Amino acid sequence: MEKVLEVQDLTVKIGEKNIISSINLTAYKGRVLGIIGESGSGKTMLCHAIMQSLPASAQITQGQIIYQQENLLNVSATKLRTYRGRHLSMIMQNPSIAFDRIQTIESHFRESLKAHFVMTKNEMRQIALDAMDKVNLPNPQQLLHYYPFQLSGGMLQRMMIALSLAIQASVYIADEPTTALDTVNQKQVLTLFHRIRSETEAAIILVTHDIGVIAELADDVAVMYQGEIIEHTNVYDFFDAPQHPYTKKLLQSRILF
Amino acid sequence: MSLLHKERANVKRLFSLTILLIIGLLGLFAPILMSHDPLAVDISKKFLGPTWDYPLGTDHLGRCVFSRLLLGIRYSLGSALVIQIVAILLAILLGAFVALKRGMTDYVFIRICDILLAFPTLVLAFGLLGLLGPSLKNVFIALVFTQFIYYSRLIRSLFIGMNEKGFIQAAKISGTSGIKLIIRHYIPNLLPPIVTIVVLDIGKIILEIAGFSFIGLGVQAPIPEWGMMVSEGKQYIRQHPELMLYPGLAIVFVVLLLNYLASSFKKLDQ
Amino acid sequence: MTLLEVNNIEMQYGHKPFMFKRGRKAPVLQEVTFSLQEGECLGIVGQSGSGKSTLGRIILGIERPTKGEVLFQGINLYEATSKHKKIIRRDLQAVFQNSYHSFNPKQTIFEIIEEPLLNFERFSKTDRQHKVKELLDCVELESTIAQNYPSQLSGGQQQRVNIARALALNPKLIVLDEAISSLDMILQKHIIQLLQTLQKDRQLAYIFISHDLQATRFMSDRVLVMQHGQLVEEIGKDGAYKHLASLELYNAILPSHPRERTINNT
Repeated sequence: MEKVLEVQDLTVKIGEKNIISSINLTAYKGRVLGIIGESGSGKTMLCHAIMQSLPASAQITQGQIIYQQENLLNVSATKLRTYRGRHLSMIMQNPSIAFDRIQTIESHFRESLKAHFVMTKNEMRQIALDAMDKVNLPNPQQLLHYYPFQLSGGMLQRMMIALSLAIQASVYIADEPTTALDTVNQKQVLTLFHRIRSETEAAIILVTHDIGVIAELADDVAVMYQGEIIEHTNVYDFFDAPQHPYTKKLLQSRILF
Repeated sequence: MSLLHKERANVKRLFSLTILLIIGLLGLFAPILMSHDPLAVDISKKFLGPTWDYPLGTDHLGRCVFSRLLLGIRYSLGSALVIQIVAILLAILLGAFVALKRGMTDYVFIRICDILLAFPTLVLAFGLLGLLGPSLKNVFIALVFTQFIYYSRLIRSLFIGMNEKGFIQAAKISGTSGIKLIIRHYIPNLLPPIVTIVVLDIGKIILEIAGFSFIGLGVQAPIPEWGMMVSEGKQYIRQHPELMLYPGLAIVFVVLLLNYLASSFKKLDQ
Repeated sequence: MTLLEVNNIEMQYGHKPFMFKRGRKAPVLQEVTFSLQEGECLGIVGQSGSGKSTLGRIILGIERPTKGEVLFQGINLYEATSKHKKIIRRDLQAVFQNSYHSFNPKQTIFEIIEEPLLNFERFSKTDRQHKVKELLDCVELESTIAQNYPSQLSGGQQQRVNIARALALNPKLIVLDEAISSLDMILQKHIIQLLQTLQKDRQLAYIFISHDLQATRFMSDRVLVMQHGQLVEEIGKDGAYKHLASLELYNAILPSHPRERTINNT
């Protein structure tokens, strides 16, 4: 198993309070790391910390984020920009806020691609069409000219993934990517992530509160509770041999149905 | 928005509000604070320079400029305030009614507004004043009317914007309707934008009142409205420019202060 | 006793031709007919866009359908006199999905729960205080929370307040539109348990609208499946489904263990 991204001892504070404490995580090529926790457990903050897109009030006070043998917390601003846009890609919970309302889909692709590659307009268009095809969006030719508001939530979510595919990200950090979607759309997006896992060499970090998502997709599981990782194991051990009482409680939550 | 911005906006607001309040009180208590009767004509004392007795001197009719300025607060700032308050209250009545009724009522209302608002409010007010004749009362009527039309359109839009909000639906399901709905839910949540607009426009109204007086369509002499004072002073612009300067500066100062205040509201709203 | 009868509901958005505008139509619901008994829990499932939320609003009496009628306790919701409408209001309440937006941010929790009581004058001030405390108790919230504002509460707490408000007038039917969808798993379980307890204690009827087939089947006596604005199937207690729409929803249910994975795994 090849390491792609490693988080070591990461701590984020807001004022004096620890939002996340001493987080240790590893994302491997072609594997999905599922991070499960309730709202307030700090999982979204963790995503932002890795992408270094934390709100102004939060500070990383400790730890390292190792990617390609470099500590992302210490690299220059230009290098960080390269890594952030191209190598590390964040898929957010609410797709509609990730898009610029007054730009067409095609110009979103162009903007992302222009920032990291040198290509002609036609090349960019082709990549966009390919990416939309991979995520099973219907009528990609037509969609190029659409504005974000013309797409449903499920489609926008897949579009976000298409954008990340187009720039060939190595690490996907997906923060509750299916929480805002209905069950059928959720299935489609999870299938997408599965395809990304098997067809590219990307590592996927998937944050969720839904045990079902973990069961469906995760290879490894980390449980977050009040800003800490309280259990970190592979998915079968997670379900069959949970150690921490909170993990056991989580597993009970779906048993009702 | 960062905390620093909020603090700055708060300071701005406090500062401008305090000064405006002081000015307002000065206007309110003008009769007591005035050293002389602002209307008392005494030709023998005309064009006196600033002295202890007449802090800003006297005008072409020997009247105390300072006292006139003080009393003028009532006519310039006070009138503007009253006009705005009356206009916004009427506008809320009509705007809310139309927004909740919708349908044909709304349609007709918008069309009428569109026609009337095709003219800038100043021109509309002009027209009305022309019809009614110049006087303080008619200035009130004209400006209240034009502001009312403009605001009711705005209020209607604000209300319609709230119509689909979750808590409005929830309130309706709880059995709230009509006036109760407006008072409990619409108004408290629309107060910030409404107050901002009203305050921002007070300055504009002051300028309009002054403007009308200046060209003779507004208040008539001897009322010490600031615009009137500027108008009366224009004949003496060469020898005694201060007669235009003092009321002019008063207008500028108060309007700037009001805009400053309104801009702090805007910052805090966001 | 039949509590609710929904007959041939049709809903189209857009407007008829008016003056110089041409008409526009977009059908959202077609030929929806079903009924509900007292104390029954009826589920309505469908994907987003299937029309279930619109149906919910029509049942609640806040959106008039283009055609068809809704009879609640025998009274036609959209033809009733205002006196009757008021009577209906007491018995027909709702809990919506986005709990934060269901609250007036300027009201305290106390005022929010108190509002239905205020609209029906019979209650004195002490009565109301007592009732609000009782309701907070029912939904397992501390009475100290009454002084707070909605923004100070967590998602789960907000949803409980929503439920408390819906219960205030002792309704016969509560329409729950995606009431648990925005909550995380452990909370969903708690809220569902709460809803079931309340149903037993108060003989409430529910209409539980959701895209989550599992949760809906768990809560409901029977489930109506919607697709593209039409009622395509009814799933009874035995649980058999045939229609494609139901199967699609069923297949979208996530596994409870990795060995039950449906997406082919490497």
